[in-house]
Amino acid sequence: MMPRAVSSVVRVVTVLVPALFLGALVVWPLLSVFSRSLRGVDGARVLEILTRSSTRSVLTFTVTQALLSALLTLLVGLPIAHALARYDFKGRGVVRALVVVPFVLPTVVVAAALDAVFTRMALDLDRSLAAILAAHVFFNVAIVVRIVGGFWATLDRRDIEAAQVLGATPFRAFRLVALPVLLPIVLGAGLLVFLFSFTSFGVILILGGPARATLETEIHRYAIFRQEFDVAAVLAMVQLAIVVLLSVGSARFQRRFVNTGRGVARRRTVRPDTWGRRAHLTVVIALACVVIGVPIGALIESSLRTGGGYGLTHYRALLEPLPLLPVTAAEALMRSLRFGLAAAVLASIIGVIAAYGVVRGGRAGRVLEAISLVPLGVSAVTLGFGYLLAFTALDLRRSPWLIPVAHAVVGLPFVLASVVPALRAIDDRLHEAAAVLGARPSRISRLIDWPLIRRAVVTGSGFAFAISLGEFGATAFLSRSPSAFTAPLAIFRLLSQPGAALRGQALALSVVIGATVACLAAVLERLRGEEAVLL
Amino acid sequence: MSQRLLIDNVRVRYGEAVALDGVSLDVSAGAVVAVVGPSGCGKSTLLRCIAGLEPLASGRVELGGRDLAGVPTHERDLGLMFQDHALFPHLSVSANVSFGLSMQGRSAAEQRARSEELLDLVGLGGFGDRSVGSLSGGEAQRVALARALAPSPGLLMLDEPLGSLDRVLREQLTADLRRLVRELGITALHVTHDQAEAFALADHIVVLREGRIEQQGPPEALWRSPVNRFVAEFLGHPNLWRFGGAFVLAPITTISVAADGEIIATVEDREFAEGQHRLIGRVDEAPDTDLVGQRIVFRSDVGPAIGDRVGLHLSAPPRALEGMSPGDTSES
Repeated sequence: MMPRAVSSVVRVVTVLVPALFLGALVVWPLLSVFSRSLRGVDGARVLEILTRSSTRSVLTFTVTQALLSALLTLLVGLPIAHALARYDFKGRGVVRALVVVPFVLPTVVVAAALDAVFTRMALDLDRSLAAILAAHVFFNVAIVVRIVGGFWATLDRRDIEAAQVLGATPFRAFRLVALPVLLPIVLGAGLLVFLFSFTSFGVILILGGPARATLETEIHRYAIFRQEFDVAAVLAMVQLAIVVLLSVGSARFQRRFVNTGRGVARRRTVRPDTWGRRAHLTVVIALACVVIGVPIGALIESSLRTGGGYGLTHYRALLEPLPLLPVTAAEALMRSLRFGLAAAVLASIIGVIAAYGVVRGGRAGRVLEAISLVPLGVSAVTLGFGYLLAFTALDLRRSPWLIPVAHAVVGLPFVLASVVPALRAIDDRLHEAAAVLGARPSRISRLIDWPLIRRAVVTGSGFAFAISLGEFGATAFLSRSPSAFTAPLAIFRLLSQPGAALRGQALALSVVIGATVACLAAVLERLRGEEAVLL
Repeated sequence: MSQRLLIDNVRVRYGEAVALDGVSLDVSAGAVVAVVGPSGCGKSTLLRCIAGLEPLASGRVELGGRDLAGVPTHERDLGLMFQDHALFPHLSVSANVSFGLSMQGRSAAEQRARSEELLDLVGLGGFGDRSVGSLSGGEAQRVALARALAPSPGLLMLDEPLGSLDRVLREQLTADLRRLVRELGITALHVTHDQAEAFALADHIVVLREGRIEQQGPPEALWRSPVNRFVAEFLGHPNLWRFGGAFVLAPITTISVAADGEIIATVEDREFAEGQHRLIGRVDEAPDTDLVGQRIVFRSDVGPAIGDRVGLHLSAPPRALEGMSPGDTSES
């Protein structure tokens, strides 16, 4: 395709550059955590940390809340996924979009929204398991609806019809034909919700408080407030081990049972034209509106409430300095937008180079792909802790640049998830045709590849921007100066203090960020096409 | 402009497997050569190594007297038309056609004029502003041809150019291809597994098998005197008989139904094709030959029924095939 000397240089560069980036910003920090968990302590100390009753109860609570979150999310999400896949009705697109909104919201905004609901309804759920579960369901319903619903919609209706023609009742046809295909997808979605809830940070910190500690919040507390790095490191390793084990197990399981090669035939949708169907659809839409709409509505409504009525008081107050915050909330927001832009640009550049490496790099490319997905599984808190350990020695931790760089690392998997398939989809013959017509390799990249992946790059960098805007876990570790104070940190700090005025400002800031991210997601969703599945 | 293509003892390996095993070919300027063979015979590999998309293990490729060793693909002065057309999906029809011209640095006006000229030539005048996605299969293939021809390459290569089209389109496009290639006087190398397509276009045919050339020559000479059973079968001769330890060939046109025919056969199967009955029989009697029990295929204006016994007359004696390789003796 291209002269071999050139092509091998390109291959080395496209693998090496992202490998160095990931090595310095993912592998090294994680290794630092690992070595810290062992350094200077004997096995007995590690064992002591692991077997403390406090560790045990934290672990139990972490697993319990994640398990309950996953089950509840499936309980709420499956009927919605089913109805969206089955019925063709006016406003289907709106419901679909609405369901996805919470997933793109920053975790601190999610927590703020749920906080608004509880306060508004005068429910005393503060610091309770119920509050955490509600937030996790609100946040994760999108995963179940998009993954299961997306698959459900492509399930070949003809298989079920074939079974019925062969004499199976509709119920048996479903049980024998559809269920075996759907079940692994449902379990996969459930596992993903479990993992997200397992490593949930902002929500638990805000809604759970110290009494509801999970591994994630404990890593943060031991590292930042108690400065007991060895305990934090051991806990991080426990968490990492569980996440890796579950991810690998899930990947194995999916490979074995999920046959995704067949999403071609479209399942027919039906119109809700009987009373039974209409009632069913109404109930499900009502469920979606309550679960998704109520928190969003409460957030917006509460942000506008002032002492006597409604107004923009809280929004105006964002411009005023507060003793509680090192900078005004508006300045924090501007900083977040700038960080987001920098993170998006960096993630796109590295992401496009890495995508070439992944697609053309052979075995090295596959290793690169695996490493680049690590930030998706590792919690942001563990990553932030790793930066704390790795970069303190280099005195890089004070650099305000570390935050957008860390955000770029967290956003990189999303850029790759978008660009790699686009690059893979380019037929080799297009390259060959262009070469035969006289195009140099560099021109092929510019004239053929770039126009064909441009959309995917924009989409990926948009997601990286949105993630940076809401990133809280790693930022909480790395932000040590006023020039690194971001909007999610401001929301957290405002929410964790008593006082209606501060709460009002937190909610107003949440609405601003939430609206920005939701609009961005809507635009990107349009770019990406309707049938794309999240992640 | 048209160039002479010289391929000299070319070998290509994929790991242990040998894809091309000493292929030599001389295509004079303006000639149209078809390379035919079953899938996996190495014919596409031959195109790819002429294009520089596949490295040679040994041998030489020369175009217009220039040795192509070390010349990158984009400097080889070639046109290539793929089976699946490989049009650039993000470019308009005219941008596809003028892609090669733009690589040569021609002016925008020149590109526009040339691409209109080529689109007219392939019967798609006025299609320039369309998007590639809106084209039918036949139109896409015509655009691919226009794109390959636009830069006036020294050699036009066609890789199964009609393989993905239905029959009617195929015949239309074959006729157009033949006309265009002749009119432009361009050197063309055409690769196909379909011998009918090869016969329709080429004035020289090369039969390739497992990376080696079995036979080459003008279409008529190949058809009349295939050197071995492989070539005869590949070209579609139905009557290959074992005869005294060798194989003989009786063209279907030499067999006619006659009441007093010296060969008696029982009809086992029949079909009606292109205005005639095509019958498959089993030989019952054939004095002085070993033909009894072998399959015989013949045509007839009147159709005997299955199970009928018919007399058959050979207007010419079957011709023995020479140069058989040992592997050819097994019965198919």
